[in-house]
Amino acid sequence: MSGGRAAEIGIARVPGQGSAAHLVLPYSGSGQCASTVLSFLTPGLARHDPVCVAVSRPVAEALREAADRQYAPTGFHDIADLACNPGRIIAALWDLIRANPGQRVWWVTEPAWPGRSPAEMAETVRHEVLVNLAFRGAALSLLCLYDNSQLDGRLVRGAVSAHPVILADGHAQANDGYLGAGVMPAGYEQPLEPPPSAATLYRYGHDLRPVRAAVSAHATRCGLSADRTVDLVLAVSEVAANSLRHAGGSGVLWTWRTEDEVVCQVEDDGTITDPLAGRRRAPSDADGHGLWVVNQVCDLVELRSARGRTTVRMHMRR
Amino acid sequence: MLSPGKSPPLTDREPVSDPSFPVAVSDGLAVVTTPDEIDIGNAGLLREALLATGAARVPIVIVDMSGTEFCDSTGLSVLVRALRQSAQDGGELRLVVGGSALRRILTVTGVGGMFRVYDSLGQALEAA
Repeated sequence: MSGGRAAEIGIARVPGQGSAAHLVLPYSGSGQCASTVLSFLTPGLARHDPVCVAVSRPVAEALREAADRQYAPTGFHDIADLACNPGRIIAALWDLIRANPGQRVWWVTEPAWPGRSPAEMAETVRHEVLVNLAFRGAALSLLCLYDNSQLDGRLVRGAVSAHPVILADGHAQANDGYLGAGVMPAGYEQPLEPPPSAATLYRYGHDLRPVRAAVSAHATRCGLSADRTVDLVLAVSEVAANSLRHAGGSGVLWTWRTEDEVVCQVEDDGTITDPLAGRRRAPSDADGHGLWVVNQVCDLVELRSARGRTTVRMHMRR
Repeated sequence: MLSPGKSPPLTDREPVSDPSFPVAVSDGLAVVTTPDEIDIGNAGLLREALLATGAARVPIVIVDMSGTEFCDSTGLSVLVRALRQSAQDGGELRLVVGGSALRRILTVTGVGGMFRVYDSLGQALEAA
């Protein structure tokens, strides 16, 4: 870290109105992390831009302690609620950007924390990669925190490789390990592991009623509440409807449960070419609204699509 | 077969729609009754029924969904387009929602907030 490049993207400098900044801060120790976060936010706080912070509790407490009362962040969120499904974050950020025209949105987030499932961790890294495609031309400064002392090293390396700019020793510098916009790190684009042997298989054609009936019965048996059962039925029906629309009119449904989750997986012969499918809010009378809804109602969505094969795995916590 | 003389005047005829989405017109309003589930398979019939109410030129259209437990985004999109059209034409579109499942769907999709939603057909008919 040195020279003109670091100064050019220095954290005290505000990027041009029409450019997004996506930075990563790998940290060990919440105190030092909080002071770096505040330096990052200083220009936004001084200009009364919208500033949102959604971080783990230790970092939030350190931030509250360190923040000047006058320049405290405007919104604190519980990251566990907000980022439960990383597939919702891009749409939530766009909502905030659209709600604040003419202003830069500052967002500090900590999307991975100890205890998240391997699937959730993987989707977090995939989300970070897609951020670089989603906000071109948006007035957004996004800082992502990763706790080096608590998280798996492979996860942190994958996440860091999705950020064009890294904060180290309190300075911003171009991230030499950045893979490029939309490029997944090794191991994050391979097909999902097959469903467990205990999973139940259903085949469907033009009539989706049996699909919904099977999902409803499965969710109820697994103890999901009535509302959450409706959510899962809606999600699976939306994905299966895409099979009828785009994938030759048929597909298969797998259902199973784990200790913590109810899982449904839809597979068909379609190909989804838009890497941001389901991550942007589509108008309610437009195509594409269905996959957005799937992300809103499910606790986690894993979508893989390549060469005429699409798999969408939907998770609900029990 | 009706003889031409017995055929009622065109304007008093019930609009033609699929039996699963019956349309009734009277006193300046139309009621479309929807079946238990709406999805990609029958949303086109809902669209046709709503077009039939448009042709009847009534100011108020009530979509009675009190017997509907499921409606996917295809069906919701038909309703939202009809709502936009009726607003453009200076009319009004009301929804009757009975079941808690459909109510949940309208909430999580954000679509419910766009409509005037009533608990029963009676309330929708009485509303000013």
